[in-house]
Amino acid sequence: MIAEVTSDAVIELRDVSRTFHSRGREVQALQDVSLSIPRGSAYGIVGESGSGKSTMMRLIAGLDTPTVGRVTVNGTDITGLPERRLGPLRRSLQVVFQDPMGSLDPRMRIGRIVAEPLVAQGHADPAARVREVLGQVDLDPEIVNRYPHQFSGGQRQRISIARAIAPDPEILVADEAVSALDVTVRAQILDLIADIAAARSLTLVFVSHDLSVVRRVCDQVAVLQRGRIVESGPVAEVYDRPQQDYTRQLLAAVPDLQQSLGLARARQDDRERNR
Amino acid sequence: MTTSLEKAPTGPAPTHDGRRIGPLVYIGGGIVVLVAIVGVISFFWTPYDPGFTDTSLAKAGPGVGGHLLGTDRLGRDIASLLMAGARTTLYVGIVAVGIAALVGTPLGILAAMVPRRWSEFLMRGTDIMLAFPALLLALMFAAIWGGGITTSMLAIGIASIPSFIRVVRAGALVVLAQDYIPAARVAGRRPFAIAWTHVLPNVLGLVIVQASVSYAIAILAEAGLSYLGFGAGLTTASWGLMLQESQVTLGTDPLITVWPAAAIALAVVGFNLLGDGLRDRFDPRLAGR
Amino acid sequence: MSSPAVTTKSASDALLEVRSLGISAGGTTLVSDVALQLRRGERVGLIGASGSGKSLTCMAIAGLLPEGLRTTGEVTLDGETGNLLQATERSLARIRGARTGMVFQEPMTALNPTMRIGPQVAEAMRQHGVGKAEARRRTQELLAAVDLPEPATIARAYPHQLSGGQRQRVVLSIALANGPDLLICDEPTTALDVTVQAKVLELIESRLEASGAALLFVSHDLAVVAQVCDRVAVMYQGRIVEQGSVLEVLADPQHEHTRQLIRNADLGGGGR
Repeated sequence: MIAEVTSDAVIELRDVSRTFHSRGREVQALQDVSLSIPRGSAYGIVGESGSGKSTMMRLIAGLDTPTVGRVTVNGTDITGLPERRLGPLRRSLQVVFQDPMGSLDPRMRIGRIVAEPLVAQGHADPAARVREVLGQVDLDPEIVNRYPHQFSGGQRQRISIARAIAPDPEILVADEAVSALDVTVRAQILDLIADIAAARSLTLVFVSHDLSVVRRVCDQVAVLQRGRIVESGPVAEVYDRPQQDYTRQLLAAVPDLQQSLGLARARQDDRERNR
Repeated sequence: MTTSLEKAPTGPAPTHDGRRIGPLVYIGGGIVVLVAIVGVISFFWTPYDPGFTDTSLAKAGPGVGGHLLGTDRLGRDIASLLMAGARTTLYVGIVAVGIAALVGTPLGILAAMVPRRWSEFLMRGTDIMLAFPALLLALMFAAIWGGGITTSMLAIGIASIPSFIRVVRAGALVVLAQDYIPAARVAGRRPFAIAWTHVLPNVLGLVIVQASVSYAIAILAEAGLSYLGFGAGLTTASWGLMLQESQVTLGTDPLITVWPAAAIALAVVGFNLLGDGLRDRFDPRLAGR
Repeated sequence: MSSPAVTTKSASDALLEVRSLGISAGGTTLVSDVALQLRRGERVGLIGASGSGKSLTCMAIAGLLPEGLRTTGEVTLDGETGNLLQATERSLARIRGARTGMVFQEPMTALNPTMRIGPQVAEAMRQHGVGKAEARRRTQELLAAVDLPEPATIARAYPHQLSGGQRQRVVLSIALANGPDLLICDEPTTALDVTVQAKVLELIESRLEASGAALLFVSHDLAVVAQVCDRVAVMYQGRIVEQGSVLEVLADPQHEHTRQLIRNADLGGGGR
C-alpha cells in the first residue's frame, strides 16, 4: 500500500529502496517504499526484525542514504547530501535512540552530552539551555557534572530526550526508545515523549517492534514486513480493522493480559469440571 | 545487554570504574616506576662515574673496593653503568613509543572511520610494514645513515606503528558501533569532532596498554641493536652494550653478564605485566558491561 | 514482608522446595526470605521489575550464581539428597541438564558458536551417559520435536546460520534432551519478535504437555506468564510479596506492587 502524498508532509520517502551487500549477497532492506508523514502527527512505524524499520529510521535521520529513491525532510531533499550540508536537517530533526546506555558516551559528563547538539550548531549559551531542558524532562539540573553510569535506565533515557529537545527540533524520531527499559518505567518515558511532542507540536516518528507502544502514543501507523509497507493508516483503523493478513497475525501475536487471564480462567473451569 | 545478572534498580551502579585490577599490575607498575626513578637519579648521582675506567680494579666481584655490583673488564662500576643504562632505555623507549603512538593512533582511528576501500588500502600497507621487524628496519637505517641511538629510536618507533594502527582501529570499530556515534551525528557533529570527542577518549585506554607492551618490545630491540653494535655508541651507557661487552668475560666472570641481562629482563617483564593488567581493565572487547 | 506460600499442597508430589533463600553480595542483600514450591508438572511464573531478584533466585535454584555471591537457606530437589545450595560443583553438574533443563534470554550465548548444532545437542546427552549412536539418533528426533524444519540440515548448521527463534528452539531441545523434571526459563522469549515469541511459547507449552516436566518461568511480561503458568510469585526488592494462582494474583492482586506491575504492563489504555 502506498500512503497518500499530502501537501503538508514534513517527511516524505518516494520510491525508496535500500540494498546492502554482505559477503557477496544482496539484502534488500527496503523495497520501493513510499511514505509521507504529515506535519504535527504522531507516526508509528512498526515491524519485526528484518522488516526494514531501522533502515527507514536511518534514512529519515540522514544517517544513511537510499540506493534508489528520494528522501525529503522539512522541504529539503536530503538524498545523498554530504554531512556538511545536513545542517538544516540536524537543526530540525533529533533522535532518541534505543539503548539508553549505548547512546550516551560513558566518558562524557551529562552536561557535555546534552550540550552536544547545541555546541555543534553554535548555540549562544549551551549551559543555560542544558539546565532548562533537564528540568523539562524532570531531572535535577545539578546532574550536569555526573556520568551516565550513575543513572538508571529510565533516567538515562530522560537525559537522551533532553539532548534531543535541546536544539528545539520540529521533528522527534524515537527509535525503539522504550524497548530496552524496564516495564516499570516504560509507560512513564512513553508519556514523557508523547507530552513533549504534544506541548511543542512536534512531529513524532515512533519506530518500534512493539505494537502496544505505538498504539499508546501514535495516531498514524505504517506496518512494515520484509522491506515493504504492508498497511498504513490511522491507528484506530489499522488496529481495529486490519486489512492485511500479516497485520492480523502481528496483532494476534501480541500477548494480552486480559486475554491470557481469560484462557487461564477457562483452564481452571475445565479442571474443575473434570474433577 | 545479555547479562542475566540484574543491576541495582537505581543509584550509582558499581560498573564502569569498578573493575578489579589484579596484583600483577601493581608489581609491573612498581618495576616500571623503579626503572624510571633509577634512570632519573642517574642524571644527578651515580656511585661512580659510569665512564671512569680503572684497569687496576677490573672484573672485581660484588662489594670489592666499594663497587656494589663489582666492575667490568675495563674496571667500570657496574651499578653506575646500570643506572645510566636505565636512562638510555627510558629515553629510547619514550621516543620510540611516542613516535608509534602519535602516528599510529590517528591512523588507526582514520582506518576505522574512512570508507571500506580506503581502510583496506591502509591496512594492507600496515601488513607490509609488519613484515619489517624493528631490528631489520634499524639495520637498514644503519646501513644508510650509520648506526646510533637516533637511528635505533626512529627504527623501533616506525616498526611499532602497525601494531598501534591495528589495535586502535579494532577499538575504534567497537566504539563506532555504539549508539552515541549516530547520536553525535544527529546532533550535527562532523567526523573530525566525532573522532576527537568520542572515539579518541574511548580508545585512549587501549593506546596506553599498547604503549606499555610496545615499550617492552622497544627495550628489547634497543638492547639487541646495541648488542649488535648498531645502537648506542660506545660513549653511551646501554644495557645491550654492556651485554655485548661482557661476552668476552662470560667464561670467567659470568656475573658481569648477569647484571645487564637481569636488568633487561626485569624491565621487559615490568612493562609487559603493566600492559597486560591494564588491558584487562581497558579493552572494550573484554569488558563485560 | 513476604507472605509465605499460600497454596502449599501436600508435600508428597513436591519436586522443588525453596526455603528462606537469601542471596547477598558483600554487605548488600539482594534476595531474602524467598520460599517457593513446585509440584511435579506444575508451572510457576516468577515476575517482577528488573532488580527485583527474580533472575538471581532462578540462578540460585539452577546452581549458576556467579562467584562472590553468598547464599543462605535451602533448595531441595526431590530425589536428590541435601541442600543444592551447598552441593559440590560435581553433583550440580550431574543434576543440571539431566534433572533440570535451562533456557535463557539470549540463545546465541547459550550455544557454542564454533560447534555445529547436531553435536551440541548430542553432547548434552553424552554428558549424562547416553551412548554415541543413541545420542546421534535422538538428536534428529529432538530437533524435529521442537518443530525445526529439516532437522538433518539444522544439525549440520552453525548457530550463527540460524534465526533467533530457531536458536531458541535448539536451546529448548538441549534443555529437554535428557527428559528433565524441571525446565527453568529465564526471559526465554524477550529477545524474540512477537510472532516468533507466540510460536516458541506454544512450543514450550506443548513440550511440557508431552514430557510432564515442571516449569519455572521468569519473565517481566505478565501476559506471557499468565498464558503459560498455573501459579505466579511476584518479587519486589528481593522478596516474594505475593504468590498464588495466576487468576488470584493477576486478576485480583492484593499487594500494591503487583497492582503497580499490572498498571505498568498495560500500555494499551493510553493514547493522545
